[in-house]
Amino acid sequence: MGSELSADELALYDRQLRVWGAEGQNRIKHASILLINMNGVGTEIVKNLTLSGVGSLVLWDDGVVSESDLSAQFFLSEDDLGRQKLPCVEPRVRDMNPRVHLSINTSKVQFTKDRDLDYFKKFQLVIANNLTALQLLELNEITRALEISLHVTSTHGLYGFMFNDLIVDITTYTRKKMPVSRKIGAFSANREITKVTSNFDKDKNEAVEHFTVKSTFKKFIDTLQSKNLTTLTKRQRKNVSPLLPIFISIAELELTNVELTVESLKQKVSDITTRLGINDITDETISAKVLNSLHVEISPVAAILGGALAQDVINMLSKKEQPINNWLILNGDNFTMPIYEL
Amino acid sequence: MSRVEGLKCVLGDDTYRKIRNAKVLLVGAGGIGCELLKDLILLGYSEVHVVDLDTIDLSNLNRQFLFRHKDIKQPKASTAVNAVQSFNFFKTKLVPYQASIYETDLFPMSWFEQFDLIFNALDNIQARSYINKVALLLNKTVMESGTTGTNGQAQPTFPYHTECYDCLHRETPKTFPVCTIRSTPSQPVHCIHWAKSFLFTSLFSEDDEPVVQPEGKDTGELGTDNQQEIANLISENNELVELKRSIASEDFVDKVIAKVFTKDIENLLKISDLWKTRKQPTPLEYNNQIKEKVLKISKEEIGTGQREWTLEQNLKVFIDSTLALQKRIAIEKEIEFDKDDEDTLNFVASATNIRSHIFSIPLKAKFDIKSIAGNIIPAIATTNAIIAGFSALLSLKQFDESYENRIQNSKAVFTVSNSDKFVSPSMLQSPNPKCATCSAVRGVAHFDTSKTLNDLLGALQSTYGLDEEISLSLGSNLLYDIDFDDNVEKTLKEMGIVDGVLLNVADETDKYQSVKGGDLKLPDIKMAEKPPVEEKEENDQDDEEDGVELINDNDDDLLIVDVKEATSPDKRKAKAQDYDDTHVTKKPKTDSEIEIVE
Repeated sequence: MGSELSADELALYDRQLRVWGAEGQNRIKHASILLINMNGVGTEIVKNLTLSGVGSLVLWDDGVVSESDLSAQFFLSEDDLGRQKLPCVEPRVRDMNPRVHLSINTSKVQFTKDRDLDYFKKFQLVIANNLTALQLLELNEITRALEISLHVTSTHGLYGFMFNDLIVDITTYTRKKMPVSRKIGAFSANREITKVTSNFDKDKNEAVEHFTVKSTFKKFIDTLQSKNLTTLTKRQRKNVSPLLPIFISIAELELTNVELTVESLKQKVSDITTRLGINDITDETISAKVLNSLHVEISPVAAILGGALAQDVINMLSKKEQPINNWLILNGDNFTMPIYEL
Repeated sequence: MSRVEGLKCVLGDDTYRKIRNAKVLLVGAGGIGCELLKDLILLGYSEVHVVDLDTIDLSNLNRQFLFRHKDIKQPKASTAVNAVQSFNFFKTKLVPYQASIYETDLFPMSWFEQFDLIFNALDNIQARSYINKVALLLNKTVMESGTTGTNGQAQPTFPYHTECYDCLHRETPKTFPVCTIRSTPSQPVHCIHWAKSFLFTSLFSEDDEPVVQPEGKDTGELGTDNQQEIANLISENNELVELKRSIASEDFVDKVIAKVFTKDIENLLKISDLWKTRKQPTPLEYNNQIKEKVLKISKEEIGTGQREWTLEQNLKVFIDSTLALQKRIAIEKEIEFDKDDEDTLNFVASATNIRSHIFSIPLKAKFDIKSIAGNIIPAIATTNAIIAGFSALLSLKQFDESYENRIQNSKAVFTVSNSDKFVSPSMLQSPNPKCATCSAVRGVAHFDTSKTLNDLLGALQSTYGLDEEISLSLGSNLLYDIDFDDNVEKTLKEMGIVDGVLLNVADETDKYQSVKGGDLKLPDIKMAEKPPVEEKEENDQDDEEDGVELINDNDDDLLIVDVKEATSPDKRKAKAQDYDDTHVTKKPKTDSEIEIVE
């Protein structure tokens, strides 16, 4: 494919090339990524993407290292308390894989579509953690205007979510051919197969099928109003994670400037479940736990969410696996990670 | 919020307090191990002991994030422990060991006793199986985990309450009949085995013993009963042994090429029965003219081996690597195949492709051949981080006062590639009643080894309610049964019952499955009743003897069960069903094992 890697890269990346191949590695190597907010999940994402060998990575965070950062942020040490965070982190990330072009931005994290399109246009994708809902909407406007991908996360104790907006992703995948071949047409709310071909793979000594998937994404604000869940079966609706309406409610309360309390959240969750067309799955224990641990991070939760996000970015870049569409919930209490196509 | 308040708020005061006092063992500081060590110290565990025999390789650095280029060849355990000190926010005490976990002098059962939990972050079946047995002896919960590429799983095992590591039937490595490898290859993998396990081994790493003996081998293993073919296999082999004697000669490489790629193929063609239904191979044409052309090929043309080489390029690599190995063997005497030893890999890759060409099999790039010849397990940072994260989260459930709750709240977590979920948690399965490992009851006994065997028998009988119809053995060595009482006056020490040995006690009546005894302190284990006896064909098979074997010598995180099983809990169940319905291939042990501690 005209995509030869150097002998050094071949030796260093051997075990991952066995997963996504030299072509995939080359795509990863040419990716230009911006990460906003270097919290615990951000730390994990940066670790994973740096190890995988992405082309360039810009970290943007204006924070000063505080006590609460010393929970899941392993690029920091106790001596960093009170210092600006990114200058502490930068050399340690670079040391992990000097091949990645790393730079930092310590200016105040604020952006508007009107003013900052120029800054964002050099990136292929943007990752952001723990933004306010207002910031998230503005960022989403920017990524849409520039047609770049957006991945965001939010974490509260044992719980968290990831949302992504890849706008449209059209990728052809190759799998072993099954007795019944794939059909052209929609196979879920946001995705359809647009082309199917097959041939015999001499190397693998088996018939393979190539199918093109068109995956359409929505803006964050539109997913909040999604009717997609109404098409689920009754049982599936009953099994929707109580965390989904909770996270949507938190975002909406922020957007409407309503203070987040036990009562306001309870009321909102009830409205949201009705609107999403799912059964009343209000779980006050979980609501209380989320409220009690807003933005508190522990290492394993950050590792799982940051691992899932980085893997999704790599899947999108390497074109080996379908990207997640479009909400992923993590419940670290019962070990579930459902995905909702909103 | 302070770091302590943050942890308390998420874990709850009770779990937080217990974790801050918990001492745990982490076996393995590789892909999952590095991630898990980070998670454990950031959760505030009081003390973590880390065991790993390995040193760091370049190919580890794409995921084992605690290691740097300058750490290559350094021990993993101490390097990992040093690396995490910079973020040891809760002052966890860390103790590294560069040692094999099997070393009973260093790690006796009494050493394992100190840990509240054992975390496995291993890359091989043998070590997992060993820790499993330790856990069964000491009744310890093990947090098990494994990954292959984007697949992974994490789950705790509770001895005698949930399935143990050995409860699942594991597929044995795929083997090929000798004749497929030696006479009638049809796939690249056949040629890789021929190049690695036959040609390379015969020329560079074995004594002058012919591999195929004229007698005593059954034809099932050879995969043929064609006498002409068998005779040819033997003479082909003997000629190669003969050829090896001239390894120091200048024209050695030419002789090898002429024999294995031309003459051997011509001989195969004479066995006409072989080619009635197969495409005939074409012996390699090789002469001075071709040789001259081959020798002119430059290093640049050969490249890094990501592309397939032409036949001539393969010949060039074959000649160069053979010459290099020829030089080395004069000093090294014997060379083993190693995927990271370029000479050996080049030899195997080029020999594979030349043979593939002869048999009209597609040629492969060196990069791809390395994967099969080196049994490389794909490994990435993200899956290891996710699985280690689940292993650490699952450990939070192990501090509940109720053992039942610990089991109920734990899950077996598998990654899946579904579009509606990222992982699939399933309930922990009950132990497989036919599991040879956990169906026998185990415990640790504390003996004064100057006591006699008679004293031990008396203690066993009084503690467990057994009569004299019991047998005692150490491994396959019978010490006592009702018809063999020669040893009863001997001391335990004389009988070899010393610290660290496994003693088998079997009830010869039909009542109990197994056992456990005054001043001989026997473990408090409950005798399990024997299940109804089913007539099954007993077949003590030895898996390692069959045909050509894929030997797993990879250095990475091997999945606990195979990938197909891991990706779907449902398939896994189906598998367990298969296992129940087919004939038992291993004799279920009906005795118990007792670990002796002085």
